[in-house]
Amino acid sequence: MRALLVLALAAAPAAAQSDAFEFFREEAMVSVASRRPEAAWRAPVAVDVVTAEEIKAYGYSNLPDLLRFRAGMDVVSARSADGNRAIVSARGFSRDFVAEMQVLVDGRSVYSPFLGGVYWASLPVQMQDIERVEIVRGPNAALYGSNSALGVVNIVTRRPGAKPSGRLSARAGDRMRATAEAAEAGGRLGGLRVSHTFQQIKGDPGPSGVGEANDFLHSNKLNVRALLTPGEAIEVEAFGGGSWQAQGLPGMVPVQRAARSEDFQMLRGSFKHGSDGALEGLISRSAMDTTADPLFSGTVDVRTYQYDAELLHRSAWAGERVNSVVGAGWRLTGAYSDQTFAGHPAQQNEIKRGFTHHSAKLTEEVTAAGGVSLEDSQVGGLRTSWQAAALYAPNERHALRLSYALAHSMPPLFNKYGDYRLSAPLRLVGNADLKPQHLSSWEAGWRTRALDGALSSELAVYRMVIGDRNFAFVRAPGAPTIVSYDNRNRAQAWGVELSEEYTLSPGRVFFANYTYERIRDDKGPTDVFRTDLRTGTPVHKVNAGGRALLGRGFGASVLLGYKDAYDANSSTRGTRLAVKRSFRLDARLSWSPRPDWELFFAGLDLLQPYRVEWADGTVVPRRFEGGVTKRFGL
Amino acid sequence: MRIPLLLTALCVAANAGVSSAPPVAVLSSESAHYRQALDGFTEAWGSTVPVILAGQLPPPQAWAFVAIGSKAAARRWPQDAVVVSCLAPSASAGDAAALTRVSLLPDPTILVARLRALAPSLRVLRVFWSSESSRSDTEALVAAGEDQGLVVLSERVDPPSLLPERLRGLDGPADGLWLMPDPALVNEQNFATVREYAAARRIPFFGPTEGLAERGAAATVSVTFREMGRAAALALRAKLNGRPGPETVRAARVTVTVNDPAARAAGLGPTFTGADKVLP
Repeated sequence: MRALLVLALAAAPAAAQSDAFEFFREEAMVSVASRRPEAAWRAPVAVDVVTAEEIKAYGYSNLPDLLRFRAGMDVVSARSADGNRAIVSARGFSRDFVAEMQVLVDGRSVYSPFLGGVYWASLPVQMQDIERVEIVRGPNAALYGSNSALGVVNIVTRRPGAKPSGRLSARAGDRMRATAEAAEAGGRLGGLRVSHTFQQIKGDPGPSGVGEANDFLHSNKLNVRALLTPGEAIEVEAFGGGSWQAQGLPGMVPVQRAARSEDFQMLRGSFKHGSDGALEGLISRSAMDTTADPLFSGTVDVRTYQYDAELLHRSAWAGERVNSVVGAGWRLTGAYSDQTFAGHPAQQNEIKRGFTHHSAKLTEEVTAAGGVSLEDSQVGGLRTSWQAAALYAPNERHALRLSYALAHSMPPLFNKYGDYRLSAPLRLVGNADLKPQHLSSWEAGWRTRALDGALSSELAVYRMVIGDRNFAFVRAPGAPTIVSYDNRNRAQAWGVELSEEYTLSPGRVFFANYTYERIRDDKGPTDVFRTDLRTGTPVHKVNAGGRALLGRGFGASVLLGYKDAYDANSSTRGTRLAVKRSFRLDARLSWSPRPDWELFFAGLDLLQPYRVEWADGTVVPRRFEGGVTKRFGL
Repeated sequence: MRIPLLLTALCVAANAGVSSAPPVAVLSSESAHYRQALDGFTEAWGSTVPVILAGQLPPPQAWAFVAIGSKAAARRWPQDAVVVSCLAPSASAGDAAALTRVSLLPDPTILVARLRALAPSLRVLRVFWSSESSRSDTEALVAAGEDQGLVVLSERVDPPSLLPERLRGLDGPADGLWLMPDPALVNEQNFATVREYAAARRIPFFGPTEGLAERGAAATVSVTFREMGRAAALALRAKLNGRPGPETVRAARVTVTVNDPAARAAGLGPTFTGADKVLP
């Protein structure tokens, strides 16, 4: 009888305690498909992650400040002529619009096609919603497409929670006041979150350091995120929101204002299949309207828009030793402006892209990764970007990586098709033959952990070459002088980034990082706007900070940054300023009498009454602020 | 009247025959963990029982079963079968008309009490889970925490590959981390990720099976596979005796295992109140 025969099985002595995971491994094969997690420290590129925990502890109130103290980042409080309020770049090359830096919010590109770069203050994302910010330094065009040559900032917001909860917060200071509200609810089938932030900033003072330049900002942001999970394998998310702003444009005569509104909608879905596969799709639409009144010679209206569709498939195979991503994307992006595209007000760029990326665990210690992206666009033609990396991780304490990447950056639509009379004696004219820039990068990195994981270190050394670099030049002197754009420039950069983080005890974390950046402009300062690459980036930057829970609900954090001297070159204003080396010190004290309440007081830029960061007619002053947050449903 | 009487007599005889048939143990596989549970079942039942693997057919007269492992519990059962499952976290009541489940999770009330004894400063415990089948146990743990003044914050990680991202994005306080015994979530990579996260923040990481303490969790509060088998035997006997009991039952004996170096690094100790084992 079969049952009796099998009794022999039961009679066999049970083995000693089986492997800790063997039972779960066997059960997982029956129950739920899973995908292989990839710890950030094992990534084959330089990745830095800012968590929600850090955002809360350091009290960051905007994204540029969040990025300012990270290794390898160049962040400047700068006002462009049309109202952008920050410059964020990785590994140098700071200017009013950094066209080589890609920024994603929940997977959606927020890069502006008009001038290139990102309008940081008007991004329709709220600090209270952010789950983490991933900072990838170095080229990543093979995965993220063009304009991600210097790096990628990936902002990820929290998914709606399963149970009803909410938060209210208010903050006020000598130069600003803000309120934020959020509510979310969910259940087995999904969740919904609605959040809103209002901000009123007096703006920075003028060059004398007193009073207020025409730098005010009034901003409203609204976001909705809905999650539907009809089954274990299917997930659909809908995102929507916008930002609406009125602001002053400092340093201009006569006094100018700008109004900017941005809205977006996105649908994202994923379907898991088999034990290791997932199909993910995304469609999105966004539009931004800007009115600057007057901008130089008159009122300027610009409308930009973007439509995106992307489909990708992730899989792990060969016993999960190989992870693969294959995808395709389509993007239609454009700008409409009667004033800046004289005679041809509507300009657009259609981009079609296919990409694939694979990582293979060759042995337990060695992983090889590589990817390629083939992109065809109206602005840049057919371009191939690719990257390859090798990772050697002999154990959980050390990881060594070597990588090479080639990436392209499309010229902004204005540089290609623009035609704008900036003033009576100056006219900016695009160059229809302008080619994309191509950036190649070699990089070596080492990550290590010591003291039982309490101390983590990362060292990265890189060398980059930007070929066909875009720059502005005088095409025809006279009245008016015609300035256009060309590719006759080449730049080289090399640098070292070192970061350390030490956890002394629960809630007590300290960090320090050092960045060395050298840039050489092969053809010298030929840019008509005198953008001198050799001196435009601080050579040395040092940041340090820490956060600590002090007991009885008190917490404190300190951030200290040092920046070497550099030349500020505002490409949209045509102004230049030698900026002296400077320190920035921020400190924050918080008190949580209960887990659902927090009160705080903070001081920013405490070391001096004010300091200069950019050639924009403003200075960065010392500021103080305080606030309170109440959470519900914790 | 004779025909109904005859039918009644036949039914009684048939039921008597069925009742006398021993329960059949159905194992997902021959793996050691399922055999340990079978040993516990046999010990508590008091005699050996027929054993089959999940893919095999049970004896025709069998109507009482203990299913050990999710693959075993997921099979099609005879109509009106009485089934108790253990070591089967994916099994749900819908899989059989009268399925009783022995949970992998210790009694949440006992679990919270043992954690509090081990870590008196524990105020906020973050609990990670993934599969829908872990929801009820997670909710029971949250409720037990509320009763004993411990804030248990539930964090669903779905898909499980998002665990590193969820950890990086953790908002709010966390004095300790607990990984639910969810097969979709518990693997080498996720374990290492949570362990490193906890170590970097010097907070204790607690696990649901003893083996995880050997791998570096600060402590585990667990029920052995053998104890789960014993609980399954007691539950099956109660059901066969007409006392169906709750849909989910839990083993009575809970074992607390402490990994001394990991626990000390996380700020526990120097004495470990309530620990049954301390691993050097």
